[in-house]
Amino acid sequence: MKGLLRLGPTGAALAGFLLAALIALQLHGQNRARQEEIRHRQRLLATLTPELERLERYEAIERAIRDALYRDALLPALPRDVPVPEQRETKRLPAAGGWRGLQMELGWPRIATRHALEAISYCTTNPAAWRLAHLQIEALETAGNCRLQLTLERVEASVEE
Amino acid sequence: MPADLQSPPNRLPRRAWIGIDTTPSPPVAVAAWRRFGRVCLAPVPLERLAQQRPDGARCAAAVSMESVFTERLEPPARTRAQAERLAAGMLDLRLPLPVEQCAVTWVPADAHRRSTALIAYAIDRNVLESRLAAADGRVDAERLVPAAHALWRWMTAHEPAADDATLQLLLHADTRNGTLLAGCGGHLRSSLTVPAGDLAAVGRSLQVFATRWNLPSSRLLLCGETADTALIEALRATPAFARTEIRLAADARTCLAAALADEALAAERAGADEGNLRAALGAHPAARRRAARVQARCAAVLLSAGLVLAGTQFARLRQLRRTLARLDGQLTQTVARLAGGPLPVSGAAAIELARRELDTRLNPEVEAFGEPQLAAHLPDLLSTVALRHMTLSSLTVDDRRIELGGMAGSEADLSVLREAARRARLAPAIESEPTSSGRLRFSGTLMRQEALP
Repeated sequence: MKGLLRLGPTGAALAGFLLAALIALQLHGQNRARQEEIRHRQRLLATLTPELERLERYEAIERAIRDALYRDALLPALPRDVPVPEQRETKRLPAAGGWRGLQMELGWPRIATRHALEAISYCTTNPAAWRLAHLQIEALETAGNCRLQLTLERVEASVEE
Repeated sequence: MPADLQSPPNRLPRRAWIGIDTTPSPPVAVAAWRRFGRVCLAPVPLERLAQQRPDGARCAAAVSMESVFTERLEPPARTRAQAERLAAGMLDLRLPLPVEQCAVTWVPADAHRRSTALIAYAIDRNVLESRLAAADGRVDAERLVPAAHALWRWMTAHEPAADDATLQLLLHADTRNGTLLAGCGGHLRSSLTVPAGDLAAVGRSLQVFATRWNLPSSRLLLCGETADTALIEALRATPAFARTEIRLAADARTCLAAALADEALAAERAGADEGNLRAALGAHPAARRRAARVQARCAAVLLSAGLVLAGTQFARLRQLRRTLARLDGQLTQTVARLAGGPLPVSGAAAIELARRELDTRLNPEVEAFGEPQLAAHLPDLLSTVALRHMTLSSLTVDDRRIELGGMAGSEADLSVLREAARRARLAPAIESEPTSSGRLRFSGTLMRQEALP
């Protein structure tokens, strides 16, 4: 360094330049480390994308359910042709995330296949607040008759909310 | 090749060099500068010279040759630097005084630098200093060049040697004495100072050179204050010049000044003190100022480059820090959104915790509402079953799969059923076995593709 300074202003400037270059090199190393950190954060954020999409879907469903609940919270009324189910059971599922599942199981040990298909069709499409969670249809030996079990499901806000 | 003299410009270009010939009375000054790669020359009135270059910056003056030793040296060297090192010792042997006591300048003997032969111009330092002191009151020129060097260079540029068999002579004649330069093939061989008007001495020198170098023909160029047609006639009347071609240089009076300016311009481009005897006495103040300016400029450029380098990296570091902070904020925000509130941990642990929190707080029944119902595919599947005359004995549908069993006419009917399932993005797994009636009993599962392991 003393040798450089002996060269006068150019030497001093050269010393300054070398110092600046060293600092720049040091900063460059830090920059590379920062860039690596940024890439790591970006990867972490990218891994969260499916969860975010899932949450957004969930919130959209929540909004839709709330609307449907207020509009049509009654139990689904089956078409008039369909006989009244012989088995009817309502279950309340454990509450989670401010919602509680409500299941209604309908059973016909013997029903005309025509009426069974009508009931299935109705439950699949019509009741807005309800969804068909399970369906089981089994042909009986008597032609044109079958055994039918339907499980309808809806959710309601849990009391804790 | 130098251009002819132009009319004097109103303002001298800043980078112009001015050659000053002090032998005539009054002295003559000529400026030389480059414009678009071409050399321009113009006479400079003395009053303007005093106004514009009072300190002698970018001025070149001649050192008359009566006190200058001119030696041609051919050291056995490969490079110019090596030649100069060797030539110093050779010169010391030839000079009548120690070389350390002289101001010496080295000039390549070959203008095209094809050989390492050098011409040394040496002058006693005391004599040079006394001449500088004697010039008190006049412009203190930045360059002091041996007149022989400038004049010979000027002549070879104006009249390149046609062959090596012609003796080339140049006589610069002024009122006090004459400088006679002799050479051949463009190489200066000898420089003599002859008394003014002593034409016999010039003639004797011509005969000596022609005999020594065995040159059959000769050419003489005249320049200087007293070079005129009368001098030409007088020379032609001398028997020694009977077979010599004698010519008068154009602008003979300003020839030395123009030669000095042109030489200084060329030396500046070469970037050396070549031909400058003053360099041996220390740099001229103007040259020192110029060198200091160059140094300062270099220092500024170096410092700026360093600052720009470090500044760029620092700015980049700041930008990266901001980006990192933004990403950290985004990550914290996302994690908090997934978890439904701020978390006590950060980084990868926070992400894991947020995922678990999300699984806990999302109601599976609510999520199930968002998934497409398998029952929606039933009409298509049942249509296929009806068209192929298959009968179903059981059908079970839940959120993940459709299980079905029944009778089919042939394996082709089951293939159609499988294809219909694939179109509905369901993975079919159907097994069949023949019955005694000739039909096939089948049972299987159509699984939602997303639910496959």
